[in-house]
Amino acid sequence: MRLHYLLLAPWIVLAVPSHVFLGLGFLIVLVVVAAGLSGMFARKQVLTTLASMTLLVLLVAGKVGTDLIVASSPDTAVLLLQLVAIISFMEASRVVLSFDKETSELAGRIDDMSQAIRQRLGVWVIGQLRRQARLMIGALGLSLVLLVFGGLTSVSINQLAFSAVLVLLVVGALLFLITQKREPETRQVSLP
Amino acid sequence: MFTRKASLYFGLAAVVLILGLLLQDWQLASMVLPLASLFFLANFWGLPEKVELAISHQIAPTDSFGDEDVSVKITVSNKTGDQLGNVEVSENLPVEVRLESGASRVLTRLGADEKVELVLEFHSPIRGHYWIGPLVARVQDPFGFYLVEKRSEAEVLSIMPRPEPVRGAMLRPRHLGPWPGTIPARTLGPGTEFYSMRDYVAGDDPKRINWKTSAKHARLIVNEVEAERVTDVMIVLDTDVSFYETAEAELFERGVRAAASMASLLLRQGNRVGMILQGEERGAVSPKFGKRHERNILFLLAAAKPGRAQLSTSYVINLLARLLLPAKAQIVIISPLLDTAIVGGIRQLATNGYSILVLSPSPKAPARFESEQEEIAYRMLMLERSNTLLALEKICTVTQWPAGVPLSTVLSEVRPPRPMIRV
Repeated sequence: MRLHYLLLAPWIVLAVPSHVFLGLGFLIVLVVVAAGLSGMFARKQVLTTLASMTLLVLLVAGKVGTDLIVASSPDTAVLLLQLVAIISFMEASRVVLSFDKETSELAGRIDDMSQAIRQRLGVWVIGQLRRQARLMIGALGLSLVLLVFGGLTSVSINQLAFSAVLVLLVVGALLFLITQKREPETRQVSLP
Repeated sequence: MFTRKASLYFGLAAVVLILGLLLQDWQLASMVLPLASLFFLANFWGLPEKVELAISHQIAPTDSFGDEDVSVKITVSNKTGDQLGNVEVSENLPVEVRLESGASRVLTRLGADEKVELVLEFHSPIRGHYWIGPLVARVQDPFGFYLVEKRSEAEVLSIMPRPEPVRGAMLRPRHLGPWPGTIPARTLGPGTEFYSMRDYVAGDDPKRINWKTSAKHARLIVNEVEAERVTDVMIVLDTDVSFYETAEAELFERGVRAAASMASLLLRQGNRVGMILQGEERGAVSPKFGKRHERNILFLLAAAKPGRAQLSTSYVINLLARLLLPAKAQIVIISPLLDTAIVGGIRQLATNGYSILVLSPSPKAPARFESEQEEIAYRMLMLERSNTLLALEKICTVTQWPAGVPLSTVLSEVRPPRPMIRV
């Protein structure tokens, strides 16, 4: 889990033709791996989030760059798998770092309450990782099913009007999925 | 509610979709699918639609003299029928607090209808008011897209100064209340101190007959005692010790302790006691009786901080004395007397008929001086203080309280001022 940047960064960056990243692919991998690993081991969530966000940007930029130079694209399923892998590991690392932080605060305390909290924390981290994995696998499965379903309908994307309607529909569907039975987060206002 | 994180993911999905359609790349556009699926699953299976939590926290004790441990008992109950997998319970504690057991932030899972009790324990911090809380419980889905938050109000933990046991202080105000107390009233009445003698009349208590004098005068003579009553006292604590920065904290804390001890003693004796804090932070409690009032005064003293006064001490004490005290009542001023301007104010109070006792904690000389100028400045300050003490001794009772001497000893040596005879 803590070493996932060693696997993810080369897989995503080096899969893209090298001239998309101006031949700096290897250097980018090194930087991302260094930032991610130092974040994981120094328990700096900012660094791990930054490394994961960079991987997300690199994934999208790599795909855009591949389109622009008209190079051969990877398989769609692989692309989705890479996206899901980045998101799952980013979220899982947040959970692990929260666990680390809380455990370090309890370090050295042997009273009953601290022991009980430590035990609860253990149950929480296992449950949290398990539920995240379950949801991520579900999301990947569902998107692959939708991908296959979209392929079967074989609608042309080249029509501008159709594309615009599709964008509106997808954005509407996304908004529905986000806001279904939920309200926006409100910030606490401190009164003077 | 959905969080900012969910909005960011939505932004990512929108960007990917727009790029895909602009570049007419079906693969790029299809990257929206995992994100949309994730939202769908997190919304419908990540968090129950209705989340009901009951949270509370209790501080024990809510006020203390700082010699006992403080505990905060947190209770979180899941009233939802479903399990909540990602619950964060966070109690905001002041930076001065160092936890001995428990944790201020707990990440846990809550089963259906489960109730969790967490106890935080810490040593009492130094004198002051501390906000404990607000207690916040957040329930989120595994990815933190949706959030239900419950808050409970912050509560105040008050660490008050402990009053020192003081036997008594010689106060002689001219204003006295009607109830029995400990202040000699210069009149006949129930008391303990001998006042005068008179002829025996039928009905007098035979125990009061002065047999020696009766034998001398060949008639029965009884002793009469001086009445002892209560009075109204206003204690003024001068918190402006900023002229003397080297030992500011120690000097200031001694003043606070003296104010607490005097207030406690005078209230125990049945007097009505008020308190004025005069410095950067001002506060006043009007004179009242009783145990509960003692708590109010100690509560005010718990919040006292040293700092330079914005308003002249003379002006404040004269104004508040007139507003809060009856004429000719007692005023106790606790001040290091580092500001010479206080003399004018005290003189005016004395002119108005108030009885004044000035208790002055003496500054401790620094172990060493940084420079010769600093030493000269210190000596000049002490010289000015001596002049102030001399000037005050002519108009009221003044007593110095050197460091390391018990307050009780200092107060037992207080004598009323000798009247000045002007020729």
